[in-house]
Amino acid sequence: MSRVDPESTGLNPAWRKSMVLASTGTTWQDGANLTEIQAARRLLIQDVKILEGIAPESGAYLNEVRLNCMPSHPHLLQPHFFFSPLRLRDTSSTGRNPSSALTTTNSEPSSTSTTRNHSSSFTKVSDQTSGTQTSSAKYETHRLVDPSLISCGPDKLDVDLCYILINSSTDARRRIYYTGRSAGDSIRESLCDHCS
Amino acid sequence: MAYRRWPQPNLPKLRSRYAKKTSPDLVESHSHHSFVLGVDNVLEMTIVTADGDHVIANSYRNKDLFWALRGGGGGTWGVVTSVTYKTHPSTPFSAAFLFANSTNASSTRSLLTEIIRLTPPLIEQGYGGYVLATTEQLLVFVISPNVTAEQNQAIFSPLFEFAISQPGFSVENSTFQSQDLWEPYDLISANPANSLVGVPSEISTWLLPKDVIETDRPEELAGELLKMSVLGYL
Repeated sequence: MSRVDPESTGLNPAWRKSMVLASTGTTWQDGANLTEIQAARRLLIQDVKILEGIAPESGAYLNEVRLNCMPSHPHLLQPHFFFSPLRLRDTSSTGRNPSSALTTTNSEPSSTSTTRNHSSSFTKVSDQTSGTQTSSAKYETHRLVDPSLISCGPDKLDVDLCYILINSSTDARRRIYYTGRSAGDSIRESLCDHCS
Repeated sequence: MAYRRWPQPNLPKLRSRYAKKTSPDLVESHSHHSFVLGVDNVLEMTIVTADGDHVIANSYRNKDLFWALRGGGGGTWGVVTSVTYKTHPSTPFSAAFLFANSTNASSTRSLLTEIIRLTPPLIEQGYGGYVLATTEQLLVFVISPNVTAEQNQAIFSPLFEFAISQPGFSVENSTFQSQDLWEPYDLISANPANSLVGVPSEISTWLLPKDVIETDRPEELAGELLKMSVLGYL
């Protein structure tokens, strides 16, 4: 895998430095109640924490958004994981910071406008300082995420869109933003309490 | 039926605790160390975007979409209606299989330590596959298109002998030649008996970099990995 230029695809560059994909899984019986399912998921979370301890600079593949966002594991929001360095075109073209672009994006009916962005309006962000992307490249990237993947949304917000914002140039923390309609039917965005 | 030429290992515990990969085929496979990743072999995709256009994405048309589709998750950007792959000539594979039931946790750790030590040279020689482990059971199944039957035997005999010598182990092992990739794939992945389709499950993964595997203290890495409820190691 290291024979391939990491820039040639949108795949997370971490793949090119990896030798092994460690994995874990959990299952539960059909018809299990929520307590049983949460217990099964806790096993998975524990396993991922062990792997993260082994290779804290590396990344993950699927499902970690939800896992990391669960209340039992609130602060594990690291720069890695599967997301590629993408951001919305309207963000990069105007030079606004991502959070203001989110507001702009969602001034339209959110479901249609964001779906369009989701599919086609993105651009690749390269490292502005060195012109190359490495694991420490200064991406600033955010990405739309299926709200159903997120289990820690604000209670009073009917979440219909999630963004994940990553800034790996600084402390590499991730923040999850939600947009949705509150009781008054206005669209707003908020930062996930668990993930800040 | 499932393991026509191999002893059928009893894997209920591993199987129940380890959810089969959902559909990793676009990214990785048994042979990803030989043919690089699935995404590196994609030449073109056609996709219906959310605005209803049916477009072609390749290195010349919709280049940014093509770049993002190979890594951002195919379904993220629309409905992918076709994928054109660069294919490779069918080639024989050498396979190795090891299964150990263990009543001795320290033996399991010793065997996993040896597997970690063996990982860099195996990958260098084009091996890919799976290791599944708990403290009570350990399964190795790897294949490579780049080694002969004799080389395959020479590589794995010491590992098999090491496993057999461990206290508290009952071991099944074999090496195996297949005419093509389909045969091992059929035995392991395409077999309904190994399928967890329809089983409520969740998986998670973590990439382990080269320098983590090439540690000076593989026994410590093995110990950490075995703290997991179940380890998959590909």
